[in-house]
Amino acid sequence: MIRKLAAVFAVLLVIFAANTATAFDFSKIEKQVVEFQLDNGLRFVVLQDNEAPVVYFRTIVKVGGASDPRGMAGIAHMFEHMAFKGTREIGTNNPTEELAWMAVEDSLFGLILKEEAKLENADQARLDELRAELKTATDSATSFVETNAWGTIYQEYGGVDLNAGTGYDQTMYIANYPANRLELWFAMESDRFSNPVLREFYKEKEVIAEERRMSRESSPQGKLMEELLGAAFLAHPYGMSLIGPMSDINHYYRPEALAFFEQYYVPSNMVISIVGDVDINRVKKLAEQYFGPIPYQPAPMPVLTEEAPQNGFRKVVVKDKAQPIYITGFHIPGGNDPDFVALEALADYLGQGRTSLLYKDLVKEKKIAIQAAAFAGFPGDYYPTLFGVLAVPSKDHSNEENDQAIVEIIEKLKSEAIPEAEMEKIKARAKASLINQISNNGGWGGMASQLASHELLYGGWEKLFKRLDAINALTADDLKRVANKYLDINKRTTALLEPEEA
Amino acid sequence: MRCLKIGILLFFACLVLSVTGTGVQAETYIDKIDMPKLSDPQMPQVETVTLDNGMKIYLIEDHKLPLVKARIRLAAGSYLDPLDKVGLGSIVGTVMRTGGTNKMTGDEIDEKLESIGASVETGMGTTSGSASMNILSDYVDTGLEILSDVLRNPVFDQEKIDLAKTEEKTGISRRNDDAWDICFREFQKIIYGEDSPYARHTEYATVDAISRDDLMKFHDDYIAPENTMIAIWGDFKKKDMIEKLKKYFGTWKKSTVALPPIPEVNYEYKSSVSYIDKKNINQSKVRLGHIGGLITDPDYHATIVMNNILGGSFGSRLFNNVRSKQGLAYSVGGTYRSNISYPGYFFNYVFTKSETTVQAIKSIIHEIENMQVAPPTEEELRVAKDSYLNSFVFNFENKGEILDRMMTYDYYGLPRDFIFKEKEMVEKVTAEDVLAAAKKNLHPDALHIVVVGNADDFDESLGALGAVDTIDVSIPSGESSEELAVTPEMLSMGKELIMKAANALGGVDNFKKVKTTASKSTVNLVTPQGEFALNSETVTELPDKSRNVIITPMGELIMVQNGEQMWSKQGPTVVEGTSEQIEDQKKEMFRNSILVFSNLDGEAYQFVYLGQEDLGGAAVEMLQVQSPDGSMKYKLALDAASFLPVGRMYFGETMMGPGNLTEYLADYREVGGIKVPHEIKIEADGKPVATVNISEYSVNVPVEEGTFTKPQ
Repeated sequence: MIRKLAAVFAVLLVIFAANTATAFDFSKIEKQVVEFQLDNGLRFVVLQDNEAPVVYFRTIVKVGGASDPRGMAGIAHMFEHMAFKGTREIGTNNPTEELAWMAVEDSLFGLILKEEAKLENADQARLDELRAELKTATDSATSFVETNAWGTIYQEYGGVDLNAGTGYDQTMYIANYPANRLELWFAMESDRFSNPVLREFYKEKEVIAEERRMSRESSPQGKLMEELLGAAFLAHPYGMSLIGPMSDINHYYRPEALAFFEQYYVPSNMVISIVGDVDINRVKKLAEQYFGPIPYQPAPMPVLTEEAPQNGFRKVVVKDKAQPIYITGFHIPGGNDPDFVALEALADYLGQGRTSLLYKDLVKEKKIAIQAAAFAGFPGDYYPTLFGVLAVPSKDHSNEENDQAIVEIIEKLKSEAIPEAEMEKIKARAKASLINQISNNGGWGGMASQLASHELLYGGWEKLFKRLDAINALTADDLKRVANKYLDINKRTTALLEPEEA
Repeated sequence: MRCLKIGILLFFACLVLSVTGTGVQAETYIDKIDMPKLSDPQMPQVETVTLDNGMKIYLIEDHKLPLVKARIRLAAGSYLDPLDKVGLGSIVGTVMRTGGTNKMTGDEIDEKLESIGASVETGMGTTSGSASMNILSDYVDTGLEILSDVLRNPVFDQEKIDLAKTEEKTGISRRNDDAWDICFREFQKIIYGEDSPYARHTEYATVDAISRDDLMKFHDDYIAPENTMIAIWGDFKKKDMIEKLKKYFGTWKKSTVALPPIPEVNYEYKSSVSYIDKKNINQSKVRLGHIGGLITDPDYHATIVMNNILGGSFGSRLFNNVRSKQGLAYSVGGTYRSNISYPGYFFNYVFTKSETTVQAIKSIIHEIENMQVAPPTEEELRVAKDSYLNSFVFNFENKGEILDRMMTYDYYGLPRDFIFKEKEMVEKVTAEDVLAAAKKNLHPDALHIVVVGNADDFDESLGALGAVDTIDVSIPSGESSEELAVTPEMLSMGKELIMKAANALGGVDNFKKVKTTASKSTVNLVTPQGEFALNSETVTELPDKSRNVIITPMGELIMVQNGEQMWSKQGPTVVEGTSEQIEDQKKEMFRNSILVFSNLDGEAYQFVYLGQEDLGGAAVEMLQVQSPDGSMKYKLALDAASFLPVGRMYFGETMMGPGNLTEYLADYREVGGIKVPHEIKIEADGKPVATVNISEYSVNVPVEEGTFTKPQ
């Protein structure tokens, strides 16, 4: 019995995602950053740092869950997977035959879609036949694939940490190389975003479907998050699933995926940051040489859909064979709104770490929760988003009890002044977390990534350095003001995970 | 034919092909790209100071960010652990920081550091220990004070010692979960000797033997300024920082104990074949090799290249021949390791399906032999050197790594530019050098081969490779092994008492009627975060089948055992039980009351009377229930007046590794003619861990088909 409980206990040790602050204020570094733009609209942010002969590359594209068209939810994430499959030249031992077979695959899948469009009148026998033929075509196309060729070249030439990630607002590709591979990176990166071959497309869908099963369908917490977003965002695509529903994944069609790629992966919708041991002039020359020939295309429209103001309390309940979890979300503006910094600071004070208000009250004093946290900017922060509060009730304590305690704390925040010492703590923590992030040039949240995402999403790379000023300028009144303005108990969305009755 | 079958589309495809001809893999643009020679990384300017007490200081000023980082190298390590207290150094390394100091508790230190976004950590390896600090320069005094305090004045709080020990024990209990871990561990023991500090590992008994006094003594003897080097870099003025370090570390007194030297390795070349039975895997994990070298060996550079040609990189011979050409391996490779202070080891490894185990091993041995026959080709030499040289720069990514290396070189008296010399020498290595190094350093006729797998499915007997030693890796329980001197009186008294218990519970005959049981219960779990309630349902078919479903925050956790196999399923993942888990289940079934009381007339159980004792303030008659061979046993406490079982005591798994468990049985209710406790409180080493409250209990309910099969 106890060994079984040990497994349960391991599960309870899950640490919930922390938000990330962004700020820094040292003009010396700021002066070293070079920004330039090609005629086709592609922007580069370059920081020379010769400390070690290595270079960190980040390609960031304003495409993500929020860009997915209806019926193709998750396609941005799917494309991220495809970007590692290679190009016309890399990844195949016979591009001609492979492309011919891929054309066959697409035609067959087109016929499958056409048949499925008949809905309940679709001919199942015909569908089975087409699927069998598709499999044969896929096997033929696959026989020309050089598995993992892209990653293998990368490693052979001394690259480390090849990776990518998709969010609601952006997709980021990371690569770190020794300094003398500068041109190699330019050649390969421009190749994959000019001549992508979406090889193994219909096979990769199975990988994605498996990923979905792992992270959503088999995870009550994953379901809870999807339902919270679905209830909180009725019009805005933040309400759609990031990985996509299974039925959308099953119907991804390569020509549509390519069309999506051609719409979003355009130079004017991308930023590249390069940090490390580089010569700026050579970077400019190579940028022109490799990315210059990509034609200009206007950036796709951002999401203009606005969520109508929430006029009442919304609640969703997910019944599952699982123990209770509580999450509530308040609508707040996006990361570029002047109030956002105060909301981030508020989240830190309210629910980050073992010294936060929520942890001290719910976990340490009342003992009604074993975990409690707050975060600003969920699920993204380019568009108006949510301020979330999460709790995992402890034994004999309910979601409702936690809700009551959380509401009390929030109401108190609105009326009482935050002590000056706590304001100092918020500022010190923000500064430390940020400086630590950028003390590392690489990584997901290091200098190269931060420069790229600020340039693409937050109004310019220099905002990275201005953010700490904004945090340092905050007063206790600012936090109280945003708490009053946004944390309206009667206009929020609560999602509850509750045990299914046996 | 295929064209016709798939139809017109395919015909179109064939047509395209016939027009364009067969594609031949051409040179790609990669081959034409300019890749200039990489400039050598520059070593930063380092200032070195030695304090009067012998502590060495390395400083780099770096005003790029308002941040100060430090790394400390302690010349102590687990090599100092006494053989009966293996784990001592590692626990010192953990509890120095978590256990607090004579100024602040560990929790206060956490609070202080968290509020300024800083960290201070400590740890202990085999031949050296470490400490680190990361802090904004504004708070550098706070950081140095804590850093100096945890190194100089740790109090080794008992509660944190217990926590560290239970974490260590959890590690022990899981160490056979992974076949590759087993293979590595056993190989190390064969190379260095099982008691060697370079191979040995903790056991429950060695962890249990460690006391707070041992930790204090280890600290007082070895954590001392003359054994300490600190590298500190970041936003400070060197002069000021030296003054600060003098303030925080200058009054630290030297130890009166000299640090024992790092033990030498005595190795004799010979061959062996070791087999570890792991029935539940269908892929063998194999390591074969022998002792390796020192980085000061004259042909060290040639061994780096030799290693890359043989098995160290993507295009290596093992990769090309064993994996790509023969398709024998999912994963294959190897390393010739050279250390600074004691010889490294040479090994090749392969993960191969059971059916090709011996073939793959022979194939690897063949490749090792071939290394000694002829020099590598020019292309092999180039690729092997490139794969070392191309990743070389990532050795210089950050100052912490550079300073770490510098401290290590200084400690062992190597030149500070050693790594650059190494690179220069690698560049000069010739094909003949590689052949000479292979002839001298590889010993294909004296290999130690370690195989973890399922011999039933091997292609041929491992005996084809040499005499086979079968290694038993079962984990010593740590249970006190004192033998009980059993007298006939103790047995007859025991039998008498257990019969009284059986009668109190409803009689043997009623127990014999029970074939299945089903229960629903609430489990209140005590965790460090607080108490937590879970629902659990169990169906049991005696004597050895059960299915248990626990509802967790992450969804259902299903555990099934059918007497031979065991599975657990969480989310979509089904995991097969390890042999330890199956063993644990057997012990749990051995304690099953219904089995005990329905088998009183058989041979399966012996009952040894131990005398009257006190359990939670009540008088009890204590029995030891054991199997005739003594391999399974537990204590059963009967209420001295009613003879109802009120307690069960045994050594078993707890949430934090194994320990002494006590179950308190209460709230007896009658179900189907027998009395069943409906409340079970469980304590581990005297601390409450869980309470089980049964809400529904029934016997002889028909069991649905498929209840005890692998969960889908």
